[in-house]
Amino acid sequence: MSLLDVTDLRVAFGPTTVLSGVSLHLDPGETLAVLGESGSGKTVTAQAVMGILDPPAVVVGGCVRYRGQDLLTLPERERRRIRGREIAMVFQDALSALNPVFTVGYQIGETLRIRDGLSRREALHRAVELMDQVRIPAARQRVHEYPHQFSGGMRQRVSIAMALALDPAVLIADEPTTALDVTVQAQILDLLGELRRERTMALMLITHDLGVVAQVADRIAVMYAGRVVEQADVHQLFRAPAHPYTAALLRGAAISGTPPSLRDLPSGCAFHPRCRYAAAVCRTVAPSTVDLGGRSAACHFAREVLVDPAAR
Amino acid sequence: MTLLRADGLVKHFAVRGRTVHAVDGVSFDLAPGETLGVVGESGCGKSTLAKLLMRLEKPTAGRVYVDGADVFAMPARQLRRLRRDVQMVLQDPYTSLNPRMTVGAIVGEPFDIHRDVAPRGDRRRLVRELLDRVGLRPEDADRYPHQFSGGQRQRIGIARALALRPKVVICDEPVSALDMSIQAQVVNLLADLQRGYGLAYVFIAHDLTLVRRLAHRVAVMYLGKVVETGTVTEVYERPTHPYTRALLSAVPVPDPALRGRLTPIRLTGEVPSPTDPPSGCRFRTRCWKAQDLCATEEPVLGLGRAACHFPEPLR
Repeated sequence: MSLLDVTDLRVAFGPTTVLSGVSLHLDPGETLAVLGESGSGKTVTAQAVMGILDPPAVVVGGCVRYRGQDLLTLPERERRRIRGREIAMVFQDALSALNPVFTVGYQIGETLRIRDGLSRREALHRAVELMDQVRIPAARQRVHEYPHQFSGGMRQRVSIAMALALDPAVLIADEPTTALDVTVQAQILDLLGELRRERTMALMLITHDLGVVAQVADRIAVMYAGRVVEQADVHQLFRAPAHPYTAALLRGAAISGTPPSLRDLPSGCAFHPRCRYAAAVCRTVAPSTVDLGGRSAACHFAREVLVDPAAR
Repeated sequence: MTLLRADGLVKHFAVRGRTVHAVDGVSFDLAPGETLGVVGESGCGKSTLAKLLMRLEKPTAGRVYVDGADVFAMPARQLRRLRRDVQMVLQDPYTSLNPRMTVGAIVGEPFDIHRDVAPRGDRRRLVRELLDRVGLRPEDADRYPHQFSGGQRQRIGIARALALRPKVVICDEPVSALDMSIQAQVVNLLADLQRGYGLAYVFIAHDLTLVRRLAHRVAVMYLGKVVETGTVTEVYERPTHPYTRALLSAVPVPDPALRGRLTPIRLTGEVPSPTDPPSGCRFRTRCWKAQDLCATEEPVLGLGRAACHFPEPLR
């Protein structure tokens, strides 16, 4: 059984469907990369799993099972117990994820005071330990500083320390390095990998960067227009993609046209207007997810793409 | 032959009584039809450099020459003429187009100022041709920017930059706001336009992979200075400055088969503040090769490829 199992998750934003049946799973200790462009639904998927969707976005179908228990049917009280302690999240923009008027030590310790009933002094002590664990130099002094006194990379370390405070089994990181320079991105990716190994924590890494995926992921779920279009082991996927969208991304080829508006999705397969493999069936029938033995792809021609040398 | 020449460009800003050393002595030559890639991390001065080249900022010291003429010593009349030759494509396609103007008015606006380029009766036709050239439809001229996607908006910005048939276009992070499948489209368009019009580009970007695809030569900037320069092959395949090596090593390689086989160079810390750059070599505080000499004596670019006291030997 997987640690986290998302099945046929559907999310709507008023009349607009933003997730139309997302299925993915996460095993203990593994790194799953969720790859997609803006509007593909990768952040909404993470928010739905965390139970922090912004209204008017609502879950309209499917389930999110954590250790076999469907989180979507839990009362908010129970949900809150899972949030942070079992599944925690790191956001893209560490500056707006941190409160500018409290010291970083106060913010890292806040959850420990409220959830674990630690005293101020104990919480501060633990905050220093956590800052050490995310390799912030001079943690004992810096615990008293404010977010603006930290550089971008150090701020992201602070928000990682906050997420780790209750020792979660799953960490969801939503584009954690997108706002950072490339040399700092490398440091943060290394850190996430080390923390995952040290804590045997599962990592769901949301990204738009194929290089990042290749560097850190065990498995990958590729999203397009609110669906997972391909899911595979990272080595398999880079060797031979099974979905034409993945294939085009890997080749670095220009994909004609633009990602569709979720308000006005193309009929049939949402990718068909941009696809080199598109045939009549693609314009009328939405493809179901084809099981390809340990991997899957939502394409009528997945088996053909998989063996097409031109797709690599 | 040199089309665009930067000679010892320096730009300091006074901020709350302190001096920000944004650009601190940058020189290069750009030939017609050539692309110079400028890479570096945030705060290295690459956007300020773009503004200096466009004469949108006055340098603290140094000169910019276009076809041999000093752009900071030109009379207004000549400067007006210069604007035709040097154009710019901006980073953000959402804020760089006036939402209240039609696409036709945006792309045709340069003709209002440079009336002799396009006689009145010709404008509509020229605008439509430009839109067609950048992959938009001629009838898009009557629509407004908000009706277009990010990639299409960037095409509008490119059409506007091309209207006066410039010789050189300064591109400041022209695709970094775009989705990955769209970035390749715009980069291909820029390459295609270069071939068609013999354009020269200064292509400023933090994405090293993109620069490699488009540039002929590369300048690597760190804290206001060019630390290494050379052809794309030289800089990417045989980097000699420690910073260039670290920067290239930090770029994630999109091939999981190479994972663990490459020994990455990891820099510690982040770029120091440009208000108080380190003495001597500015990179020394993050450099694993730094010696006492590096703190006291500033390395110069000179005739070598890298501004470093201990560069990798040229192979």
